[in-house]
Amino acid sequence: MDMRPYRDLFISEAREHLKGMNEITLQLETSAAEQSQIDALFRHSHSLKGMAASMGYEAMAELAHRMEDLLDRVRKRQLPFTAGCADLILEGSDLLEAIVEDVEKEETAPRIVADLIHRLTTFQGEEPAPETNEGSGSSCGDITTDTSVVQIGTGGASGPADEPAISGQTVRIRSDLLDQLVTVTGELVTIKHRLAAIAAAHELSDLSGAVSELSLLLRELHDRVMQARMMPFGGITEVLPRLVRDLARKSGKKITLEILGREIELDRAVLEEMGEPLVHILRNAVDHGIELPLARSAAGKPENGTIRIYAFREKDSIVISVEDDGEGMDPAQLVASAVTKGFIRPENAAALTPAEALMLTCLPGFSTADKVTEVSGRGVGMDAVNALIRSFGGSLAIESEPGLGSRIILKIPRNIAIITVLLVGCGPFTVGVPLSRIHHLVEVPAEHLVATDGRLTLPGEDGDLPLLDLNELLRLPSRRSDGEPLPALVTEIRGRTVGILADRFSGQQEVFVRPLGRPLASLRGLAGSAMLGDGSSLFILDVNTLV
Amino acid sequence: MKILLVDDALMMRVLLRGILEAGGYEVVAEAADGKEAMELYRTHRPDVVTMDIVMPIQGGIETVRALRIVDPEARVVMVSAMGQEWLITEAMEAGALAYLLKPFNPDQVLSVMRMIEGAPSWT
Repeated sequence: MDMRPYRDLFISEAREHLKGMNEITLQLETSAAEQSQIDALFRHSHSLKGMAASMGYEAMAELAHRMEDLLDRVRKRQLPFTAGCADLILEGSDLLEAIVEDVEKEETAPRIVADLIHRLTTFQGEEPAPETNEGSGSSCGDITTDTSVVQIGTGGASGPADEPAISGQTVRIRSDLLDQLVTVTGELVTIKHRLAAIAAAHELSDLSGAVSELSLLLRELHDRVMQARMMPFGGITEVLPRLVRDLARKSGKKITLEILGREIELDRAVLEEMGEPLVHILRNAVDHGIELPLARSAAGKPENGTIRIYAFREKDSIVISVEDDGEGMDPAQLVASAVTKGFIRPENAAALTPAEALMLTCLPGFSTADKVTEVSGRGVGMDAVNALIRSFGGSLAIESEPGLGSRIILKIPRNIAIITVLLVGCGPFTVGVPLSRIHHLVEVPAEHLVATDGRLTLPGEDGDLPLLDLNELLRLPSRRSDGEPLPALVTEIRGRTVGILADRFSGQQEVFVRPLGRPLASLRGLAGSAMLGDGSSLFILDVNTLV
Repeated sequence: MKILLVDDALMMRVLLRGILEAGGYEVVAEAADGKEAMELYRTHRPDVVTMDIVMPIQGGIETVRALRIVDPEARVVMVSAMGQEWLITEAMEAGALAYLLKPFNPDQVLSVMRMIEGAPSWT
């Protein structure tokens, strides 16, 4: 029988089962096994066996069969579900996943399953896991995954966990097609602005009317297209509980990983890039953050460390914070280390604020680890993480309290392609500042435009607002005060609220941001460029790197 | 002959549907678990039900028993994977008429269906 037509279905459904299997196994490690969970595990392996056998994938069917047998013994209470048992099931599901991948790539070289099959069939319970088992008898592992938090939902189209992600309500779309849709929508927005400009120039009121209707529809189209590109954050967090579990087991630490906000949606392009940085930050938290259980109890903390990943919306941004209750970072020590390694001059070291000192960890080549362990030695560094977030127009901030823990905060614009900017005039130039970056606008009376000891400030109820002059920032000739008030936009630069003085604000506009090419891309302070309705180009400022 | 397919694996349902439709049978509905099977049985009144044994929510054998209470004439073919032979006996006692083994052999599936077609229901 020709099984080729069923291959794609097999791949996607097998993955659903493997995912379910992984999730349950990790849950089982924290709480006493419930019969229903064991039954579900058994069913997953059983289904995998049946599907693989039907497709003629004998090695996979055999492996799934032996996993099913092991789980059957657990189900019949001939064997307790221990960490060793979980290890075998996880190892098995990894191998099954690898086989599914081979099927997908039409790789024909066989996988070696005999060794694992042997261990599965001969498994008779285990010696207690090293170091970590002094706790309650029923809990066998070191990692808990918070299961109370919201599950991934994609617009109601996904069913319960046992249901494969194929249903009449969803279709799969090639991602490049979606990208093209975004581009076309962006160009349409540009042309709409051109039409509006023409209508205004020739005072064509009926054209203006049509353009404003078009505008509403384009807004709608844009929203829908962007929505179609959105994917839940949970899509990249699935692998994390397993990762933290393995790292913790390897290093003898006890860690609870909580993931909140899985349902928060991000642009697909951003989400795809975020996986690796997130893994790096987590590795850091496990390796340098959370202490060994003994050190934790000596410091009066619970033996079990907690890492919390939290995604939430804030205005037009998505914030992803990763916090741990580990040993934290000492700014003074970081500064000392930066001086020793020649990153900063001793005479400049004193001027660094604690927050700036923490950001030293994002310098290329800077690592606080005394020795590079297997955990922290892999993958990207914090400098790469920082650069990536900045390339999205986002920002990275670090907070840390020695002894109490650290928090890495990633702020990413929700929609990256089309944004609304404020048109800011400065001498002969107009630049765009993303509206999402602006808190509000103020008018600065002339009397506050005279600098006292080199600094401009605007007194307010919440204290003085430091003012920066955009002319100066853009290296334009400084303006002379002529007694007129000046407008300023209030924004946040690396956690500080500041006002930026400009000559004029000439309205807001939706623009389609394009990344800058070389050599402009390396200029600090520029986030990208956009084309305006009249065909002129507009630079988009990145206020965060401007100063 | 109208058939209701019950299996928690979509792939298995698609596979079996393909074999049955190629053999000229009409699949009127598909259920992913025993509970859904009961509901669909009531609405569609199929001539034959193919029933997987291991399923979430409500397993196959339990469902056969429940079906036979709702409709003592219900004709059920059990579908089971290798290594589950002991369950087949239990399923037959619960009221199944025949069984099919996974992986499916199309000829075997169709011959079991033809046999069921001619067979009186077990009353």
